[in-house]
Amino acid sequence: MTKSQRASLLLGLALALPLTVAGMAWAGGASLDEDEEDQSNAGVSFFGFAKDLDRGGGVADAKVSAEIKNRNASLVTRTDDQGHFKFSGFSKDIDPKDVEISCSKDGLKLQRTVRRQPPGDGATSIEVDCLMVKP
Amino acid sequence: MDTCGGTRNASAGILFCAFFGTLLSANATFAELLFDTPNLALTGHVTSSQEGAMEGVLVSAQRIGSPISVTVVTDPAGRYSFPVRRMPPGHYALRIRAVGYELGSPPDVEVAAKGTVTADLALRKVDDIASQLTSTEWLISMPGAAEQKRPLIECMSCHTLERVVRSKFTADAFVGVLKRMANYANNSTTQRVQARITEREVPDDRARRVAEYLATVNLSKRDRWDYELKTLPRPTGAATRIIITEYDMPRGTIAPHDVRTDADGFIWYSNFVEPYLGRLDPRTGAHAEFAYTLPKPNFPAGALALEPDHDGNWWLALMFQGGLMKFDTHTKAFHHYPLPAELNSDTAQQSMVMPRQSHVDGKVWTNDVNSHSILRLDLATGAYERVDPFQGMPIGANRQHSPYGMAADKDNNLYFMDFGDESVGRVDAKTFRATIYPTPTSHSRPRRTMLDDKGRLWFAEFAANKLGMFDLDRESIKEWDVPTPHTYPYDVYLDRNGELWSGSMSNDRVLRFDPQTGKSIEYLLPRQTNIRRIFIDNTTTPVTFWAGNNHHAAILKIEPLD
Repeated sequence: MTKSQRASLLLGLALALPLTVAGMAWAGGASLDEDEEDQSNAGVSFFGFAKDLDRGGGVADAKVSAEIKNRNASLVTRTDDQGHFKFSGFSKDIDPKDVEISCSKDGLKLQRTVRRQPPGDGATSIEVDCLMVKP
Repeated sequence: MDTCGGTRNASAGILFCAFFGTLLSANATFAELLFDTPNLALTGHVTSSQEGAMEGVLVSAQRIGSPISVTVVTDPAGRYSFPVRRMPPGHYALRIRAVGYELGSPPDVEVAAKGTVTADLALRKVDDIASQLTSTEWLISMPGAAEQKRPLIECMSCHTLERVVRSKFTADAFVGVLKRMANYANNSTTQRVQARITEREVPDDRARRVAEYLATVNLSKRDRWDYELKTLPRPTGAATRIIITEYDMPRGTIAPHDVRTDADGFIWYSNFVEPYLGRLDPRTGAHAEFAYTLPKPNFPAGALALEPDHDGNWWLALMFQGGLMKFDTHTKAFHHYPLPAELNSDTAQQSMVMPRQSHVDGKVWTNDVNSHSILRLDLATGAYERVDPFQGMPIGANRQHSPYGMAADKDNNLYFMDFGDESVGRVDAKTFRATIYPTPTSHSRPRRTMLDDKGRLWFAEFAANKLGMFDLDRESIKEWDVPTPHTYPYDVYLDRNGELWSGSMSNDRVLRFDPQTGKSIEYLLPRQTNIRRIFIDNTTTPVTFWAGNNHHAAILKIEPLD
């Protein structure tokens, strides 16, 4: 299952059960339960689309960066054929406000991003769309 | 067996030559054999009553007393041929590999300085095919969901799955076994089991979940497996056109992990379970070991990664011994770079080292598996800096990020694999800024990697059963499925022709894959072979594949014939 497929399935779901113990490791260092969907350690996830405002529709293969303020680190992915992207949950100690999403693609420039966050503090996922136009 | 040109056994020779001549008239393939015969030391046909002539049978010859064995594969006519240049005169033992078959009575052959020996081999069906299955074939055969089988891929670090499925442990007993296994060091083999110094706690419920599944596929409730034992097909066509050479190590405990060639044609390897750096001369089979003093004598011994620096010196990642070891190839002396006290805990573990671009800035990259972080050694001071590239980053369910395979670009910026989860990472050498690139496939667990001269990072996605490529300029990842399920590739290497080579711990096969066309060839290996780091020697034509057999004390060379 690809990340985008998985994203579609998981979108909007609440966080899973609490993780009570750290993952057990084999001699090889991996977990016994690696395919379980216990997401309690995860914070807010981000998803959205890169959209071409001139031509309409999604922008495929755009670079999408998630910049974490004061962490000297970023997460980079690319949009799928429909222009969709997804970043699974950041750590809980990351304030979603400190995550800045941006998009880039040769031949287009980012006009602005639109962020849609459910009301309240309990949001598990935030949608961010990158609106792109010809330079 | 005899030689058509020799005189040792005239009657047998006449019989064979008469037989050969009859076939020659009927089959053009044998015309090739005739022309080739002066260059052949040993040839013959492999048949069985079930199949007649058998293609894709591996025939191995090992001269008595020699550590070197050579393997060729039968063609569509069932013919195998050993070139003269691979078979010096002597007394040879033969063995075969063809799943479902065995040699009735393995023949010995006497190869003379001149002439071609012929040994036709008649195979018979085995009574019990189970002992011939690879771990991949067990995984294909076992009933159960993918998530039930998935934990078993860790078992293969130390042993094949045959040990698991032949066991008679009940679920209750298996819980204890799993807890015991979790407390063995990564660098353990059945020849040399090494316990961790610090115990690891294993939650009962998790161990029980795996144990209950294992008790459904082993022999705890039955005398025979009640599921069909499925096998992979024998090689055909291009997959038969190889010569494989295996160099047995002088001790069965030697566990070659990473294998590399040097400019002088020597093969160097890291020993995963003993404090030696090994060297093989493939021209003669001569073997040498260079011992180093264990920094922590009571801790598990052995090194994992082996990498050269710009000057051709070898660097070892010392696993539980803590820190890095440099071997000066001129002085033949080791220099240890220990971890500082605050990092040198009982669980500190350096599995990787990347010194290739250390001449640029005097820094060598390594990792600490225990703290899931990256370390950088300053050669001038011996100090280590710690980088946590995953602070705040997403993490898959029940996983821990774990920097593993490493490569460095011309500016000594680090590229690494997140073996614990699903990302390729970059750490800027000047700012320590980290950029994380998740793979398109979730939970891919990228393992070892290599950077080509076009700025492409090639890597094996261990858990995803895929090969991957990260384009440094485009910052994009492309993936390809490997052809056989449950391969779990460990490493990948791009050769000068643009073809990828890969090996694994599970299926006794080496994959040759063209990412442009998607075409692949899988070369079956003569023996049970646990492959880790691989290396392609691009100076030969065709290229030459090298790897260690981590569990069976051998170095493996594959020479494709086209």
